[in-house]
Amino acid sequence: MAARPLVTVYSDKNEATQTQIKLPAVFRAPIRPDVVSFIHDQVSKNKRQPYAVSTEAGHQTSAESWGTGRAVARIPRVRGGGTHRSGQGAFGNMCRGGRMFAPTKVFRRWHRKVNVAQKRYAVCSAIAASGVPALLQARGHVVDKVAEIPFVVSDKVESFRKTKEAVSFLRRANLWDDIEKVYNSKKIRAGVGKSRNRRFKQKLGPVIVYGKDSGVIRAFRNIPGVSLLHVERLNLLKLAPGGHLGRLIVWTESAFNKLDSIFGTYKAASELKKGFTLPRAKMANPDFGRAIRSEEIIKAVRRVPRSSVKASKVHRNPLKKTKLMVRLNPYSAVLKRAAILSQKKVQNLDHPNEKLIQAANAKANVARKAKTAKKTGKK
Amino acid sequence: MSNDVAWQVIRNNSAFIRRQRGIQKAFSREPLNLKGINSPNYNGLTNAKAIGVTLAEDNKSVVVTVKKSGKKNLPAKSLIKTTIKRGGARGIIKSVQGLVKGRNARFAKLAARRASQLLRSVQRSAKIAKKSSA
Repeated sequence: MAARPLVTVYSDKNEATQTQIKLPAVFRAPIRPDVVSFIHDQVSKNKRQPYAVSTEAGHQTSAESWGTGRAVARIPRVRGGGTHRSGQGAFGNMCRGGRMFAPTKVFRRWHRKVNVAQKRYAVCSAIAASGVPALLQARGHVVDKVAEIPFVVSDKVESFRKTKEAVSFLRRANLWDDIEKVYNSKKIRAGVGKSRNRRFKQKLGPVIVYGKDSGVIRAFRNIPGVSLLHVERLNLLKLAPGGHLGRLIVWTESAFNKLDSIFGTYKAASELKKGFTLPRAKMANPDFGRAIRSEEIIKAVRRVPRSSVKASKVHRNPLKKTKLMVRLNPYSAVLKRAAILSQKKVQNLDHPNEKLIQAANAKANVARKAKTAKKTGKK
Repeated sequence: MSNDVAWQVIRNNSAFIRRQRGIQKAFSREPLNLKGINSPNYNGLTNAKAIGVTLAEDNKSVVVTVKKSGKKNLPAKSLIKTTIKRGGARGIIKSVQGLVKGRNARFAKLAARRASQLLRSVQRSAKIAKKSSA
């Protein structure tokens, strides 16, 4: 593997500083959308609250079937008289006032146990994806003017206390375009969620990952679309919202520095996560162009010599192509010549006047040629 | 990450993809996609030598955008934009073709075609505006 590239740390005014950090090894982890979307789906289930219909619903009547012989269906029917309800069907899911089909229960399996190793794999994958500008853009982030991906800022940002400071930082770092996108995307939610305290929908902006909170959270939390995460408690739901890879991440310097100890490198295991080493890619070289041109593959591939490829033969009709006919039947040339001569005889082309005509034609030809020669000569 | 892997990730899941009922092909709206089609050949995000042709703001000249090599992770510095102004429509188209040929010969004709289409679309709308005002 090539040497790990360096990542420049930018100041809160978006100036490149002298500090450069080796790209943490997590950014080399395999990017697996399948793992991320599956784990996201599983983890996202763990915030659900149980709901169900009342266990009693549809069963609060003493209905019983009338049995056969009364020319009505054998469904249980409400007893008694004196009200419209009596004699109506009850209990069944097809009945008005009956219970629903398969009533929902509060003891549904709402939550999922998620394999820790898989969760870590997914988080690594999401982080790795956040270092690829193409994936950020494909997710919809506006990063055209951002200085560098991954974007690392000095720790001064961590001690911001005012949203005003945070906003001016985001503007200077050209991250405000992404926030602008969030503002423009605010829409009223479709569906019932509107009346359940989820009135608006909007896109997501950057997530800010800090090493130590000296006010960052309060400074940034009111900016729409921005999320904040501590490096040691990275959350897949925030790193890959919707299970889609490539969230724009702003790292503070101290957070970025910690990544190698949190996730480990390809040489050392993680210090914080017991027994965890970074997942390795199945392919050392996933660049198809390079792989296909590599020495090993070129050697192994059997070459088809060019000369052995023959153009398919075109079949032509010898009756129309004289040359072909001659090749097949050399006497055909003689026959054809004889035919022409005999035709000349029939058409009387041997007549003495014919010669005069030919001579006149030739003369006219010569005159025309001379004329054209004169023209070109003038030029 | 290699562009091939990036393409596999983006292929079916990108903010730029536009699908329409009745049209089998998916379209794509990345700025550096010459054909506007969601395909590995024309994808503007995952091709190192992707090229973009757009109209300039004056609606008369054409901007050719080219990716700088080795600046993949520096989005602010990764693109070179060249505005081609002179020469009338035909001249612009020719110089677009020449410019792109030097960068990525495969796309030269396509870029020229796109430039021509863009310029024509502007001409047409200008004509319509003139007619409706007269």
